[in-house]
Amino acid sequence: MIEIQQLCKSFKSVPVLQGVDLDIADSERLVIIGGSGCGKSVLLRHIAGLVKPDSGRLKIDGQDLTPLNERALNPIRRKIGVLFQGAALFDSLDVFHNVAFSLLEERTLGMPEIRQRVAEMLAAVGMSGQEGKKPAELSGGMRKRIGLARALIHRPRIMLYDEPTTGLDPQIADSINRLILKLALEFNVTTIVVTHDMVSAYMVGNRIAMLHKGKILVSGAPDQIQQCSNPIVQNFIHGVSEEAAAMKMSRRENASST
Amino acid sequence: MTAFFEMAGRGVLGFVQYLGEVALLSGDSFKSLATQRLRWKETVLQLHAIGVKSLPVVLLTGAFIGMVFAAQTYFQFHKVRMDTSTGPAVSIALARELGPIITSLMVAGRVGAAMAAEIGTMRVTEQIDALRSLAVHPVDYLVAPRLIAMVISLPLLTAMSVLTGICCSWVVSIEVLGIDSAYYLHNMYKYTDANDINTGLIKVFLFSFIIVFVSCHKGMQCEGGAEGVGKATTEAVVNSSISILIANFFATMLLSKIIPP
Ligand SMILES: Nc1ncnc2c1ncn2[C@@H]1O[C@H](COP(=O)(O)OP(=O)(O)O)[C@@H](O)[C@H]1O
Ligand SMILES: [Mg+2]
Repeated sequence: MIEIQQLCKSFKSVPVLQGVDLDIADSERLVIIGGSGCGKSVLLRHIAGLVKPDSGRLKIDGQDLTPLNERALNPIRRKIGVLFQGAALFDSLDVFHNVAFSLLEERTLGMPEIRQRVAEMLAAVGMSGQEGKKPAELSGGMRKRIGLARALIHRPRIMLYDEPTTGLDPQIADSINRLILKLALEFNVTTIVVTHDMVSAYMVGNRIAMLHKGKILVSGAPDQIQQCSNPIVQNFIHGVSEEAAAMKMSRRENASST
Repeated sequence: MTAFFEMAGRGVLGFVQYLGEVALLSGDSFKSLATQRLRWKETVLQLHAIGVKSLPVVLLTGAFIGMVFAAQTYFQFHKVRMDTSTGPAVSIALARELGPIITSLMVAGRVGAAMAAEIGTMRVTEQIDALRSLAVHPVDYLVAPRLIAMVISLPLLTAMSVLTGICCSWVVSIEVLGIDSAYYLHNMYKYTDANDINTGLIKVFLFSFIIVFVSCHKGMQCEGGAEGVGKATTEAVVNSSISILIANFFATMLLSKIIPP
């Protein structure tokens, strides 16, 4: 259970989040949509405990993250997996050490078990046998898969995805979407996906929320969002630019005046 | 006029804030060393990158500084018939000032730049955030191993540089300048003592902290893509070099009180 209340955040006195309210239930698959630069990544980074809000509350399983310092946040971060926009693989490490990172850091499992877990995880994301490759040798889609394996290996209960399909061709994007859905259902993880790709949003989400001007504008099941009468939402999901919308409006006004 | 004071005030505030940030990073690093386990694998990798890989450049500079200093000293001392005093003059200057400063500046340039660039790249590509999201404190993983490796490497590199400088200056003095070897060595042993070497090593021990904290701080604060990384790298080298030169003056004055020259 994630509870967000009146979350506000500004960067250099430019407000980005201006009172976000959002509750996310366990095993829910929430997709947060919104235009580029509207603060989706910032919101996700708050949930991951990577940024401190200026004001407001953020609770995960009843525990408030806002007063915790960097080290005190670590137990909560272990419950959460994050797939970053550019995958953020450690370039100095090969695929095996990237995926095994959190297990090697925890130092509770022996090497044979870690090898086996990594092999299983790589198989789950469709990257079997790639342990020896360096991140620089991988394509964008492959990097995302490895990033996914790295985030999932310590079996988090919450997975956060920052634009998982942006910059990928439609086929690879589709396979990533399927993977997210499969992992969410198979491991029963609470899934939060930030995207502006509506295909992806309808495919993985069982709830969609739209972030607009630093607030959650609407939130509901995918078909509710599709039928939502709010013109901002309609224009966004149908990819109508603001200019085109303004033109349509003025044309309609002209038509009605004559 | 008010604009001038405003600008000066902002400059001073910025400087104080910068010092504060570096101090915070050093505090975090010492806390990490005291309370967290050290990542041995990272530390060994850094020992290789800092210590082993800097050796050629450090030895080369040590050798040439030693030789040119011997030549210049001889040219002046020869005028007053003090040829064999070249030995101690060169060895003391190398052990106390030239060795530590030249070595630290070379390492600041080579290693400080690499630290700022590596950590800066990790910062702008969200690898530092990935580290944090995997419940690893960036200071534990990135700064602590570099600090340990630097504190071990820099004094050793300095000692090797000083030794090379003294050997090479001896060769030049005997073979090229024609000074008598026995008297040269006798005077050198007589006037150089362990405290000359200790002073130099104590100073570079101090400089190793400066290089690591200044460079890692620049990397961690890096913003704005590839351009930001380039800027952080340059600033890391400039700031650590200047800090070393300033710290060197005060350390020399202070040490002269504790260990009389
Ligand atoms: N660390 C930061 N420092 C300054 N500004 C930031 C920072 N992170 C995000 N911003 C600003 O916040 C706004 C929202 O960014 P972001 O959440 O990345 O957008 P998006 O919805 O495309 O993911 C942008 O205008 C960006 O410039
Ligand atoms: Mg984003």
